[in-house]
Amino acid sequence: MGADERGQDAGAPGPTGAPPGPAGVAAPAGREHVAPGGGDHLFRMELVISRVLQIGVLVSAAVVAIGLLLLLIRGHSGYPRQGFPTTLAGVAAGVGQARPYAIIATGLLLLILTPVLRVAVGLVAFVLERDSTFVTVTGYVLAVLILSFFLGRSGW
Amino acid sequence: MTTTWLVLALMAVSVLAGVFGALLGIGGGILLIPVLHILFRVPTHTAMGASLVSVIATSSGAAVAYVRDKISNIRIGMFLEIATTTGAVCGAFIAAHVAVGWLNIIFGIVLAFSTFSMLQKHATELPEGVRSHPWARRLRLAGSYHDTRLDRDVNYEVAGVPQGLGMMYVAGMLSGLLGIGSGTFKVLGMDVFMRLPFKVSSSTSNFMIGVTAAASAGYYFAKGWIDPGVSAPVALGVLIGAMLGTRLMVRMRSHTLRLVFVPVLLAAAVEMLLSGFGVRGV
Repeated sequence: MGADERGQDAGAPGPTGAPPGPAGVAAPAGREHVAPGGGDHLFRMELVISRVLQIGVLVSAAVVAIGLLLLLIRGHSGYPRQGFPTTLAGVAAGVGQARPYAIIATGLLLLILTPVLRVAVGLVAFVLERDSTFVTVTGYVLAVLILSFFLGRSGW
Repeated sequence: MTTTWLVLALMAVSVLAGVFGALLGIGGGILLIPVLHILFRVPTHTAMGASLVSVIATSSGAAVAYVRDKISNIRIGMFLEIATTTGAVCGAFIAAHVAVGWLNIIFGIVLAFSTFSMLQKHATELPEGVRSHPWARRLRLAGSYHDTRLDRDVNYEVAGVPQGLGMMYVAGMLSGLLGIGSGTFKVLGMDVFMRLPFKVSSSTSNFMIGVTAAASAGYYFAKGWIDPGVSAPVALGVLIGAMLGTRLMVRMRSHTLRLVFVPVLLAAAVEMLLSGFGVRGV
């Protein structure tokens, strides 16, 4: 099940020529009702990205579920007392040793990244539209999202 | 053994929170936090972390619907995210530095407020005589959508952009401070200050919730508030519950359900206040 979804995820922007791939750049096919602000590029990109997000949520939920099952089967989180990894390096190391909490944390991190991905793609759409005001707007939002990770890490 | 039962109980409760969150239209997070804190004795920060993760799961999962309905105004959403994400980071920062009691108190107040605004009827579906704020013109925020009930295209202007931004900062701050989606406050800002049609406010708000939540989730994760043992069953449960809830929504009369839930929500708000003031040793 997990492998199936992963395959779709990888296939979406890939070379299959299926609808999702070229949608962002292709000529508008069905322009019945243009999205607010007139950004057709933006609307199509958003539609594609929200599908990718949906798949992203399914994949991360699957990873979380695998970790949870592993936890239930083994009856141990893989960490002493009530500990769990709170850094990317810690999570990666734990996944290497197949510790249940590290696998769950990976799924949760993937989940947190899905909205960040949406903003990143929005930025690309505004660049394609040459809308410099909104490139700044989206760039700022993306910067805040990335910064928040480091702010917590810095001990603040 | 105990782990198994705890995981299953957390998951069952989260499925219910997801179902009722969708049916009541107030989101799963705000229901989850008192349940986790009062019933399961989960520490406040850990309850907030689990709630925040579930908020991201439901909003990212439903994003397709909000984009496809063409009612969400993506430009307005993106622009307001400047304020919601900034507020969210500030809120998360404050959450790390104030006494936990304050978080429970603020949560109690926010829950009581959300309960009352859940009952409120919107005076006008489509505001009349709105004139665009100069910023709205510059940013090309005005838009249109097809209203299926009125069976016509609705064009709308966007007023009070600075006030709207201010309100979004507050909404974002509450999201980061408490680990909730704070959709109520986002809709309020777009409704009252920017005077958008109600459908546009609610749809655009849903569109923004995931990005707002992600802005404090990184901070939460680094702080160790996202405990895998709690967050995993909660996120999966809410995701399943929200999917069930959206299906059920079509068949149920939500107003009656809301009335039934008012005493429950108010009791939860009081419990959180008491916990915050240290009256209850939760």
